Amino acid sequence: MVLSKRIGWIWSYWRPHRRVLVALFIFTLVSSAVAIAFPLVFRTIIDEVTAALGSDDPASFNLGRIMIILAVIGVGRFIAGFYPAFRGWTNLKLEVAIREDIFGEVLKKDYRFLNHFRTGDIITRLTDDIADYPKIAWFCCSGIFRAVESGSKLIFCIGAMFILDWRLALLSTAPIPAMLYFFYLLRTRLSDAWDEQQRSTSETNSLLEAAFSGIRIVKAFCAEAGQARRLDQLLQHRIGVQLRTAKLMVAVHSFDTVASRMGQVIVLAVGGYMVLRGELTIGALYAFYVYLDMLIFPMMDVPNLFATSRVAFVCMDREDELRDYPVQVIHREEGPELEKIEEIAFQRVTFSYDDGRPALSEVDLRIPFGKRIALVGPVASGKSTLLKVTAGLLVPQKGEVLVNGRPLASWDWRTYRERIGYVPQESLLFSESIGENVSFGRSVADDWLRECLSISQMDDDLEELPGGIDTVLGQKGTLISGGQKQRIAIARAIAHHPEVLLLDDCTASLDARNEDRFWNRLFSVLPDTTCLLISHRLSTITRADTIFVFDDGRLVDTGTHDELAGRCDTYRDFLVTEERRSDLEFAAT
Amino acid sequence: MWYWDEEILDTEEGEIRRLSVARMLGRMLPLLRPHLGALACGILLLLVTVAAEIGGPLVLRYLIDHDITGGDRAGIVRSAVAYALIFIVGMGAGYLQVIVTTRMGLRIVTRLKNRMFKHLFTLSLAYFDKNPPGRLMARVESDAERLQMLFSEVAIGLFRSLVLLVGVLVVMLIADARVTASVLAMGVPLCLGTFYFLTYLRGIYRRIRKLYARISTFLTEYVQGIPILQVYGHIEQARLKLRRRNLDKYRVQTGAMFFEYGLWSVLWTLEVAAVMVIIWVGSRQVFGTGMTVGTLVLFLEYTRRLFFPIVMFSEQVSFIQRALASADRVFAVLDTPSKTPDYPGARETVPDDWQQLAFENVSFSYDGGQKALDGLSFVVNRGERIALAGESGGGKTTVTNLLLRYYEPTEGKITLDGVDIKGYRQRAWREKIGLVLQDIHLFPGSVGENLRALADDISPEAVEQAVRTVQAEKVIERLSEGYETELAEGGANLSMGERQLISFGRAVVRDPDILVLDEATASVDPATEREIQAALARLFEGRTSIVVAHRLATIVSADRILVLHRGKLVEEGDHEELYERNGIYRALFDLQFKSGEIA
Repeated sequence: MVLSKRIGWIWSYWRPHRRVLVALFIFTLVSSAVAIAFPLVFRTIIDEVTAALGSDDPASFNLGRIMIILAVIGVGRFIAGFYPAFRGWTNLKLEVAIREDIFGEVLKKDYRFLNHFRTGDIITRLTDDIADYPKIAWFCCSGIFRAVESGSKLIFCIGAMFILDWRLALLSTAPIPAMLYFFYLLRTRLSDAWDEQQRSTSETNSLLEAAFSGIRIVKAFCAEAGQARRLDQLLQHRIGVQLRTAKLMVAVHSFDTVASRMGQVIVLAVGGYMVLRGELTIGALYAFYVYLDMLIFPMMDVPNLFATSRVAFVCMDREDELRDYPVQVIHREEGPELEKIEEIAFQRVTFSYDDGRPALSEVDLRIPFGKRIALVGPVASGKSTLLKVTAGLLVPQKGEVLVNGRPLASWDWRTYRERIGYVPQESLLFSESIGENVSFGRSVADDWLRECLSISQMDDDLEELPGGIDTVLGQKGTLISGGQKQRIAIARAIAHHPEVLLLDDCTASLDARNEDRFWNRLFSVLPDTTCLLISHRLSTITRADTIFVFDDGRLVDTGTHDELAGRCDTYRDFLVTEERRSDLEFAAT
Repeated sequence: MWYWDEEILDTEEGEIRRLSVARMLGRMLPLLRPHLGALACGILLLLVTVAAEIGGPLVLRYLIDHDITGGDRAGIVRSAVAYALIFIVGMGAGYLQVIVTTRMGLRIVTRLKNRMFKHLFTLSLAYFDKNPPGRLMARVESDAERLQMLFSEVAIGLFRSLVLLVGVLVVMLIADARVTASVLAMGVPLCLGTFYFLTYLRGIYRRIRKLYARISTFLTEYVQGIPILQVYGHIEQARLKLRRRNLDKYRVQTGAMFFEYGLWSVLWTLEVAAVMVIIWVGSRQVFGTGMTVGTLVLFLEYTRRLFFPIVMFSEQVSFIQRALASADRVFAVLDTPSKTPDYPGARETVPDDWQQLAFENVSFSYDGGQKALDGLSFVVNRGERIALAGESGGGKTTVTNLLLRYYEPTEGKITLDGVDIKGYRQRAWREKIGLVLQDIHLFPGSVGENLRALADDISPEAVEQAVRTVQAEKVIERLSEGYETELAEGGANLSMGERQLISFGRAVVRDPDILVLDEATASVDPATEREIQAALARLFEGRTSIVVAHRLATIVSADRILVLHRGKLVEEGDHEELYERNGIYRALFDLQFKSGEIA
């Protein structure tokens, strides 16, 4: 990314805090000024003491005035001490803003995004990449202002020295450029050493990982000794590498100290001489001495900006990767509002997940209102995909999904999703109470909430759970079974009285009797709801008004159970496989 | 709101200290013993650097009081040279000290890592099942590294600060006792105050970490649930939920930060107060008892250096806390007892002329709960090819685990010609078995090294013979450096089929009598499949094999098939017999392989 774009990136988060920016800048200068003022006070003290000593009149030493000056400095120091706190506070403000912003972007993404990025990676980008040192939030404020602080300290320091005595200032700061040159020379060697150290470390890690995940092989092949020897080899090599890096680090970091000490030697020699000649006071000499000491840290710090900026910029790129990842499924909240779903139709719908084989291929179907339709077919025949397309989570590459005759995308998305209820195969619940999971942010009357849970056959479970409907789910809350999760997800889906229910194999965990009760209850409470359900159970399938048979992404046939059993091979195969599965269950018990 | 991540944090951070600090130090000191010479050298060099740092201002004082006051030009030059020498010596000693202590620290941690690695190999497989590779890597790598930093950086740094502090105070006392006393009078309550303050802060920082973990777990849940959030229109609310958690952490962290920097503020201000005290008392001394200007300068200079060690120390405290937690974990690993030693009197060699391997009424459960194997009994005659079949979780993998002696049966025994295999040394037993797993598990190294899994007691001839046995010569020939070719990550420079062949070759590199094979389930193209079948045939030749079978050809060509269901042997026989019987085997078979595929 070009520097100007980076500045733009950083500025976009700073803009709401413009005034803080100015305040911090001023505060920085004040803080540096206070730091630089201290040695000047020393000078005054020493000179006044010397003068008073020389004048045979101790009373001329104005202790009170000195004390007042020091007290003022003290107060200044106290206030300036909070300067890093203000920087840190702004860091946190930025962290909060950046995280919320990127999260908001991520929430809009579709399945391609979630397939491309691993969850752990996304989380790292939303947490450590922003909050860690020296990453984005730190850099955008502290990183930049540290450089300003060090830079201003350097300028004030050298400025003060020049004001005191420009000749001595020139002489004593002469070693600095020379040292900077040596530092620059060593820098490439240092970064090479770092890289080698990284490589060495990852070599060790590779061996450890392979040995631990392949422990069965190691043990089976009696290779423990050999592996241990290999690790030892790697570690011995690493000692050499790390030692080299350590030496370079010390050398590089001592350049600043060398420069300042050499300056101090010059101050002692030349400055001392100047004092003898009356061209300089002892107080000023001491001030020079202290200033040269004070230069060390800022000198070390300014190059830091470049190192930390590299890290921060990499992280910024990673955030933009998330933000800019193209979204294909856009849920627009403009367009006409849907009042009632009369019909959903698929017109030659083709969809594939990753430009490979299509999961749905030229599917043409009509889902009339109020009907119950079962989707059957072998594994990976496109049934779940069909439900996801109907739910608006996937957009077909070819063909159209029409709702009431108009493309799905043309409607106000909110009105569509309010009218459908979707229960995926793997139910996703959140670490909240059961009640909150079911209402899920919508306003649902309490007794209807309980009714929904009752319909999904959760009554007995709720009695057994300690908190009933208020039981909090999650790892430290209560762990519930997969079947219970699914039933809560069903309750969630019906809580807003949907017109269309999309159920992906949601009764697998119920035994035949409970499943019976479930369907009966559901159809009696929501008699007009259109249902698209996927199931493998014959008893469920035969409840449907129509059966859609899928194979390899195509809609092969539609009809009732008897019709299909008579004429459809795919359907018959499906029945046979299911029969064998239940045979196996039977034979095994 | 529930904070269910607290427990994870607690155990991860090892807040519950197993060993007391004293006992832990007691265990760490022996690690230093072989390095006492280096340690002494390091301490000496450290003392030199501290002396140099204390000495510099003394030269300054001399310059002011004697050379300048006495108008001694030559003296000025001498003093400047002396100062230069002192700082050169100090820096030289500093450089050497870093090298000495770093090398010492590196050697200590290398030995520690080696010890941990070797010890981990002696632990039972159950330990590895409970501790994923990532966690073990963290123990051997990061935790050990943190210990090293504790030794070579923190301990040295603390020692240095302490010596500097003491040295400075001693010199100050000699220079002028009254001024020193007054500075000390301020310093002591300050140190105590800092200590308590920091303890309080530590608690707050723990809270902050927990709030951060809450954000992390929230994000994990909600990012995974994005489709649901979209379908239920929960997007804006999710954003607000994040904002709440963000702000929770923000509030606590801001408070902690102002609190902490408040402390530094107080410290910096106290430095000014110390100067005020020095000037007050010192000026009286100067005008009264003849304290020199140089001495005054000396005090001002030393005061600047006094406060720095205090700041350094408090910054190190939290690191020390974490390092001690790491030490705890390192010692926890080293203290884990090896669970499967050889039995006393175990025989060194397994006879070559055995005829029968048997499972006699073997039962096993992994964690004292449900039985993975329940009264399993069967016999394998030498040279037979046995296939294990059954649903997943039925016990097939457990049989291979017991055969390899990764675990021991809880009831019953496994025998070789009637002799319990526990009577043989584990190593001797395992040398008799060749293992091929579903996942190939390659190691960083060359092809040749991988063929022997990095074991170093296998001759190159044996490796070459193994390659010939499975007819994998063309794989070696294709590679630019033959046996020496380094394998890329995960074996990427080999094709799937080639990797399989390498794993087959590896299995027979010790020419084992028994072959245990857990077939891969991934389907490959017909050409590769043929290659693999041919190699398998060569593998099986002349050996007794027990195969967890997933391939049609393997099952059908086995001499005998054992059907396991829920840990029990339910059917036994060859393919035709079992298929005719129309029981579980047939149901499984038909489910997995569409009828009509039997070629």
